[in-house]
Amino acid sequence: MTAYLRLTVLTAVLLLQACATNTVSQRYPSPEVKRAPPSPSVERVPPRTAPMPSTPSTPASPSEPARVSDSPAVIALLDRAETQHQGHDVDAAAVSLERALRIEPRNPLLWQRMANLRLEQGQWDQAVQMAARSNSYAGRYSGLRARNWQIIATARRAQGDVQGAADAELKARQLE
Amino acid sequence: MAARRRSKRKPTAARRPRRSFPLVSILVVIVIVVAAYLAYLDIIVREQFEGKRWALPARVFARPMELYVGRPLTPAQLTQELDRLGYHTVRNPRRPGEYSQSGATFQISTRGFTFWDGAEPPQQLDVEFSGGWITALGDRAQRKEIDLARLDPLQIASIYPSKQEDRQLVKLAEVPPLLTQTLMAVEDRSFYEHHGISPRSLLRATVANVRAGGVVQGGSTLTQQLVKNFFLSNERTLQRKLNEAGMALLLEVHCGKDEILEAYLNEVYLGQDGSRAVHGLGLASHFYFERPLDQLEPEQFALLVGMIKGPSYYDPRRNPERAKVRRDLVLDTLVEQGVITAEQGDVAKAKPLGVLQRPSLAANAHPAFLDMVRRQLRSDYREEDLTSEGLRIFTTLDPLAQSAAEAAVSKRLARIEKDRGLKADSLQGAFIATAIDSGEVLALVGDRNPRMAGFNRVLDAVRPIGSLVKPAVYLTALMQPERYTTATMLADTPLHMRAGDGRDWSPENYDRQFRGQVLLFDALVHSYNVPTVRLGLDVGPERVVETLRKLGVQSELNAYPALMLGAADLTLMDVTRMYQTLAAGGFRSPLRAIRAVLDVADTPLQSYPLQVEQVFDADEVFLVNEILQAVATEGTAKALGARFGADAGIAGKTGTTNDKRDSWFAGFTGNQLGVAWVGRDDNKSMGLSGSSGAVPVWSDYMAEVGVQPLTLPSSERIEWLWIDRSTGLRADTGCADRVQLPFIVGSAPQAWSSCARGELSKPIEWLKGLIR
Repeated sequence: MTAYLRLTVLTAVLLLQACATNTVSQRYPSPEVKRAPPSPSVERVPPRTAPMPSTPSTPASPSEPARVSDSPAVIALLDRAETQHQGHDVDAAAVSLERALRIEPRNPLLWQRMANLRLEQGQWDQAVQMAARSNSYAGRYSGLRARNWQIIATARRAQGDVQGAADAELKARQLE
Repeated sequence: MAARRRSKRKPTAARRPRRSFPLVSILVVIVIVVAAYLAYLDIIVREQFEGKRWALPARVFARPMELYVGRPLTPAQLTQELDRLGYHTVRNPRRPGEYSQSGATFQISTRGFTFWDGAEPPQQLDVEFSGGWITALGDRAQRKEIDLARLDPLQIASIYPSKQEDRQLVKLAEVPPLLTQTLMAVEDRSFYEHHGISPRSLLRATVANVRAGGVVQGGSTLTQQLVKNFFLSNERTLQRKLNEAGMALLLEVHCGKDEILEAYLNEVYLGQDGSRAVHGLGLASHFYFERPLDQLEPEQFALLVGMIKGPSYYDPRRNPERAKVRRDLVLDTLVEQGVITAEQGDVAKAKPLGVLQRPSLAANAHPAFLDMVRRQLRSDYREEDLTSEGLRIFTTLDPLAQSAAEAAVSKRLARIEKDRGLKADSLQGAFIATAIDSGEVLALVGDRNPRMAGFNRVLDAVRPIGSLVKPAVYLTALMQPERYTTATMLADTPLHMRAGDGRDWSPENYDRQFRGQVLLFDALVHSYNVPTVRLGLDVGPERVVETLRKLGVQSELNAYPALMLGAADLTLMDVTRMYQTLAAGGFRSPLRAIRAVLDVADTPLQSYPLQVEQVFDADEVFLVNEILQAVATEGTAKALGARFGADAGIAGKTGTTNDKRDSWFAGFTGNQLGVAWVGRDDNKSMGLSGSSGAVPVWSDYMAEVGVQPLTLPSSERIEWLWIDRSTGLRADTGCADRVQLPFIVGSAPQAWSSCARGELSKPIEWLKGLIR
């Protein structure tokens, strides 16, 4: 019974996916598919000579970016990197990620993905550095930063830096 | 044994008459000589042919242009790229290498290309632009949107051995049969029947030549021609002819027909590109039509084959009429021999030559950049591998950026000379542009005449850098937030001291004024010398040297007080590494000119992956970069704010050296760093400051490539507070001259300036009250 149910759900999911793909191909070349260029993400910095001090009034800020990217090209490259990764071609995955980074050099998720790859390859130092680079672009995304600190902790432990790993883990916990 | 032989011989000698001995001997000698001669030729043929690997120069490519929705690009820039790649404009692009443009809409039939990370298939692309962006990208053939496409990369150079032969190898199996049929119809009809030499064609040629009273036909087979090209000189002697015939016979013994044909296709000489000799039909196809062989039409095969007889005489670029006559003659021959039909022949003869006007494979159009590539390669490859193994080198050069940089340097220098009444060509310039996060070099100009190979002012010129050094002094200070902040007051009062060389030294400001006390922020924005020297001495010159090292300076540095004003001889590369690290928020990346190297079989040999190393705290670098942004709106480079708007957020620093010998600007936008130098090779004064020489060059470049606004990535550790300019204390609306400055949280001054009004004295509390 459960197996049957699972099968039904699976079929439904597959059908839905199929439909989704269909919709995409049917949309071309109708004009409404033209995506507006993704607006560059603007972080508000107070202008230096503004008449009044203003603090950005941010309600509870999200801990993760809403989307991986607004760029279909970046998403396509991430997908490709994922496929290459699953095919155990980590070098190729890194090349695809680097290509994505050329398009969005300030996307903290791309840097984090790169850090994960380096971690897997045992390039501990570059894993730490890429995670730090991700942090520098992560702004207020605390969940994202927590994961970077986890990467740093793992890499440091592998390097034999027990104290450094513990510090990084503490930072990760504080952000979670 | 010996005895028995002797006893056998004796009767023979006795039986034979004495006079026959010389004849036999002569025969034996002749046989031996001929055999030895053939054996000798055989050694040459075997060694050279079987071991023969053509010396294939390394081919160097620019970055491929990536097309995707959201990419900042203008139709003009795309046209520029396509034209440079040798794409033809046609009404209805179908064949690879064709495109059409209608306003902001392009249809491109791409060529496809094998990259280091896989193949990019030929595609029928629809590209639409709006407002400086690509807004739609689709595949016309499959009628669907696509996420990403790459054009083929521009070949920017070849690295040759001393003998400048260039070729692109083709395999016989990949060569269209029509080409080999055309070749045989014209040059050697019985190629597959003869054994290297063809007495019949020799006879036919001789008859024709005798009738004409001169050499009008060559009776050489393809094998003989190949042998001649391979091993022999061009002289017309009997001995050479005999060598040729002998070697041709031997070659046929050792090699199959297909092997010989393939070698011929790759060896044959087909033209000249400056000092570079174009060999083989593979390269010739690109050289004349900018297409691979398998995309050529019958009349194009006919032209190439027809040219073999005299590549210079029938050069379709210089002698188009002669070339067309020859091509049509070849087409007639094809019809005559039934290779193509009469109708096909007529259609083909009606076509124009279709040759690209100028060869797009410039031998080395960007010597300064190639110089950098070669230096990076030299550490990994031997010189002979570079010039002979057919490596494919994928570089980071962006042709759009490069041409913008070349134009910015040469045009701006000429204009400055004219405007200021300087002697023409007295100024020199250098420029480099890099991508901030990857450290990839996009453009590099080492001479105002960018084609000039020689002294590379980017890599080798060593110059004092003036105020470009100052951000390192301020960064060293701001790394101690408990001691220094953007609001620290620095003394701007006369200073007398002993300099490193023992002489008395009294640094002065550029305008020779002293201002008493200035904000640390203002001292860097306006590049005041005296407060900077004081600050540098306060933090310690050794610490400043250490900062410069960590930023990436590799040249020698001395921890003298005058270092704070740029008394250090650095290369433009040093400066670039330094500002690259600042622009990347304290993360240092090696400057890369190469992405990947592939061998002749497209196997990746080497990649140069992205690497980063955090050398400074991102928030402390943020403080420096914020000040550098103010340089471009209110400081020494405010011309940039005026040209690009304050929203561009450009950050940078000018530099001027003693007596205005060097004019520098290093600055960055949201995605690119550019460093410009203007000066004279004889190191004489030229009367230009950083603002009047290097800033305009930098500015012209950025205007051409487009400025992506720079928003510095901030963090929770940064807070912004209003500061009274005259005291460095907290300010509010009561203060007439106040400025909002960034601080590391907890480091800002607590005390309020006397000008501050009571009710607004705690803006944070006031704001919180409002929100409540």
